[in-house]
Amino acid sequence: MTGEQWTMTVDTDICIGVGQCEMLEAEVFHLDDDTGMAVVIGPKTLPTDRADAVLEKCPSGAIRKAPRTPTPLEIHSSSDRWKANPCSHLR
Amino acid sequence: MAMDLDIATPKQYLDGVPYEKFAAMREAPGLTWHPYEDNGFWAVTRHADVKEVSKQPDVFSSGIGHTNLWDLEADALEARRSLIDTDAPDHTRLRRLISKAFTPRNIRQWEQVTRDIAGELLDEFKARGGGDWVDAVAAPLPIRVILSILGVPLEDADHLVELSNYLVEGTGDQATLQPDAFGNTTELRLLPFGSPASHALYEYGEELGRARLAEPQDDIVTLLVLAKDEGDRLSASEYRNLFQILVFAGNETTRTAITHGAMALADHPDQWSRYRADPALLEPMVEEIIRWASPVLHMRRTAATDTELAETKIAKDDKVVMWYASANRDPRVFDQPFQFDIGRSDNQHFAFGGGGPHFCLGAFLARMEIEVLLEEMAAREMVLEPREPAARAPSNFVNGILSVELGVAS
Repeated sequence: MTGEQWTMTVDTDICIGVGQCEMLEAEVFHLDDDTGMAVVIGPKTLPTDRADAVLEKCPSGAIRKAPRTPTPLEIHSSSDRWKANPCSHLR
Repeated sequence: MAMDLDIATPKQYLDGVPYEKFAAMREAPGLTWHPYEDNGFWAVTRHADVKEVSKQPDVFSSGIGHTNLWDLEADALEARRSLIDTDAPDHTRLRRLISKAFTPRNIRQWEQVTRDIAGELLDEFKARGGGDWVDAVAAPLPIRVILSILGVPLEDADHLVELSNYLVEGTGDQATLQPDAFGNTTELRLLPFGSPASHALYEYGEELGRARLAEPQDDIVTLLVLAKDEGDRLSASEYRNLFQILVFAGNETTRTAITHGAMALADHPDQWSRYRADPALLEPMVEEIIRWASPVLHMRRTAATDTELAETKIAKDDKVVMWYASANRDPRVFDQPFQFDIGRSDNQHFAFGGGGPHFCLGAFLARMEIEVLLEEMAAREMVLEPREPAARAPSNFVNGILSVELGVAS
């Protein structure tokens, strides 16, 4: 498995639209052209080091990260039951 | 402190930025206390320390004493206050009002206008075989673009360029304007840059605002004047100071970057060839030009409380001055900092500021203008050549070039 992934969010009450986030991670952050505030786009997630880099750059503190909630498939396939005997359901 | 580390006397900047003095301060422990008029300031010269100051706007205030080296009385501070010398929450309100006009995509809408202007200026420069780059290209391009974005009619461009030049003059030692120039009756100390040209800009901004209120258009002045009209979103003083700072910042700084960039490319033709061979170098070249130029040499903050930085105790109300020109040559961050290298990756320069909430509003605009200009130069296969040494501005605030003769290789 790759490193931990974080879901990124922007608090638009605090954001002042400087755009350091978009400069660093244009696939995940975008300055909205009607409001001037940052919005999270695309995969909306970043690995730890890049998430921390964006947090550090954001001048207003509007960007937050939260541990990414695993998808049902991920929960399912990480279960020990399947690791031990992946084909047990076929018996 | 030894006199030979004086970085404040404006006249020395006629010979260039005193980089060796900044280097000495970067190597000395802590922050350097620098005498200045009746007071003094902490000179912050290392990249990491400039970053730290920028990230603590509550401690290192932009509003308490404004952002230049000098001290102002309370009424002057209030009369001259604009976006740049305001703290939260007023700064937040003002910035949020204007930031949408400067997003990357909204700025890209002006790309064609920029390209048309750049092309026209370059064609003329090339046809004449060269000339004063500042007068012919570097000054008119940004002013015409910012005036288009603001919504100022083209026929008024020359007048606003003239006014803007007088404001720059106000950051140096000498003033050539009489206090009552442009019909000014306000005490100079109550005007931005202490210049009567500010009065003229105020008047112009107010007149244009009235015109846009009557007939709204899709431009920044309309955006601002409609906000002012709503009552509590933008006061009359905030409006005119914001108009003034947009004219100045959108004009003078980019002019400086474009001039230093052209001089660097003329002095380092190998770098221009490098870009011509690999157009993907456009973006890093633009960043390197901006680092190289460091158009804004410093910005001042005032300690809101007792604090500490670089193991130096700072007292409440001490002035703390970030020297971007020094940070941008810090060998701790930049490999061979005095090398003009258009291929620098991850260029962490602070020419737009150290990364706090006052980070340059016009950063995307500046980049777009410089990119477009360089693309149009390449499209015309223009190779610039040095001719005469530049005439510099005697200013410790802006890395200004008043004129420079450049040639076009044939």
